[in-house]
Amino acid sequence: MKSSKFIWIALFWMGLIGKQSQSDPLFFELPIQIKESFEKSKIGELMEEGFIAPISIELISNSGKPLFYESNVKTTVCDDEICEIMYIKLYWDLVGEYVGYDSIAKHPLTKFDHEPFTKSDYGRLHELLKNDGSILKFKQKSQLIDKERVKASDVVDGTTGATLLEIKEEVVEGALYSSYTLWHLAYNGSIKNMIRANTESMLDEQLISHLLDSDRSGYKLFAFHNFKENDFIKYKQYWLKSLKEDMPLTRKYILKNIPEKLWFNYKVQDQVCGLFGFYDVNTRTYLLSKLEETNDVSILSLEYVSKSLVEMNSNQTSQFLELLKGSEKLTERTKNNIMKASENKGFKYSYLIDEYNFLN
Amino acid sequence: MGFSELKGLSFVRFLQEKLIISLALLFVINLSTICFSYSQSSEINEYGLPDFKLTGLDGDQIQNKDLIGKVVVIDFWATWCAPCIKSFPAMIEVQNSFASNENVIFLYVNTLEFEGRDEEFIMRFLEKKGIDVTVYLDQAKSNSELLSERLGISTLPYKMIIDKSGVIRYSETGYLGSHDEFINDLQDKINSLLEL
Repeated sequence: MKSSKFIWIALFWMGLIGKQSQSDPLFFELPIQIKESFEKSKIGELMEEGFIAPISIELISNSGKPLFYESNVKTTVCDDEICEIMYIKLYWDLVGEYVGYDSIAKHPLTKFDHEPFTKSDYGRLHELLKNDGSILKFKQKSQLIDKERVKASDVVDGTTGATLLEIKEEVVEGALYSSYTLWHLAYNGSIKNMIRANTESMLDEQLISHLLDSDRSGYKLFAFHNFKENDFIKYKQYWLKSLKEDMPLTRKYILKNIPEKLWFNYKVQDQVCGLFGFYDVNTRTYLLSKLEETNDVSILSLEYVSKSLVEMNSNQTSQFLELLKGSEKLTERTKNNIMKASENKGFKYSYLIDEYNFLN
Repeated sequence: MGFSELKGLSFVRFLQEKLIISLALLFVINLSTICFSYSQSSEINEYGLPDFKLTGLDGDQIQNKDLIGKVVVIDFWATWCAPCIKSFPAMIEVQNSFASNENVIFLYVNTLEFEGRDEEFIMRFLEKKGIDVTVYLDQAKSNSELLSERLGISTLPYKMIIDKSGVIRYSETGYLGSHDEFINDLQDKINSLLEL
């Protein structure tokens, strides 16, 4: 056992396990090459249960351009028999999402019984830390193991043996409490709030453009959340692109927050409805409801939506047909789309169309 | 369970062995550029422990020279470490069993403590837990490292037994097994070192 421990430690020293160089973190999801020349500025401190000392959250910038946040954490991890001090550097993006971690020189991560992490353990840890919906979110530390099985266990690693099955998938084997502690650090609400408040305080035209140009959906949503009314006009192409490509949450936020004076512009309605075919089911329903609440809907918008009639569910079909009924005029193409849907044998709600008299 | 025996290996020799194994590994895989930045250096004296001077909660000071000719049991602990606290009754029982032997010393060293948990906090903590032992404080002064850090300790509880010549003979991390097993094991180890 002892000699295998030395081998792991030696491999760690050699860089075969763990970090490859001083500047490259073990795991880092952002497309940024970290350089020694980057500036660091402390944005705040946090003291939580388990920390040996308050941790500093630092903003990393390059020539004044904010890039990401990091923190060196020194925290305690305990089970019933042993406690350990864990040293790690965590990274978050500009909106407080976990993006990676790094080990600290001289302090490799270890499992129970002080066994160092293997290369695959390090990778596994990053994968589980990336999962913001982990079951660990809903568990107290005391709920991680089956106490009865610990009592019954006669093996050395009683904790691993008794780890609840649903938890096992979400942790590094043999490092239950370290995994749990790190996940809760990566998604620590106080840290996230501190980061978001700091990024918000720095928001200017340049930073908003940077966030909107990013591939990170969290960046775009954060920018939209911080839009002033005129920003919807200024950055129209960005939010239209997000409507087409981003996650449902972002789409719904945009549709909900388009300023009225912009929404009542037919051209804007047409652009939004022209993307109907790209939307997920929830965004489609939300848009149809929004159109229902809109007194003055562009007939071209209705035409665009009518192209997707055969893909609608029962409620959406009824909603849309009501919209058409309320419209004073329909384009020939709209009528044509309705007729095609009505005759489409694969469209199981075609009978709903027959209840209306659009085609005469 | 039990203290792992260091078989008379001094701390210097212990580090030397680690270094030799690492060098051999490096040679085998033929890497010419190796970085030893993670290796640990610690000033070790002839007693196997780095030079230290600790102050007790009672104001008493202790240093390496006070340990010569004694069998010393050092228990590194912290107030946040539940297994450390759990092991105190067994430690105290062993200490009491050697109460009449002035050649056995027990040092309870508070280390790696949470920031802000000062002498007063620790005294109140011990009082509340009903633990009546002399605790020494391993606190960093200016830029100096803690004694525990110089020994490479990042796991608690960490107990070590030092023989009369100052050599670290046994070490143990965690508090595993039963109360009685722990007591018997520790008493056996101390007795074996007293006989040397």
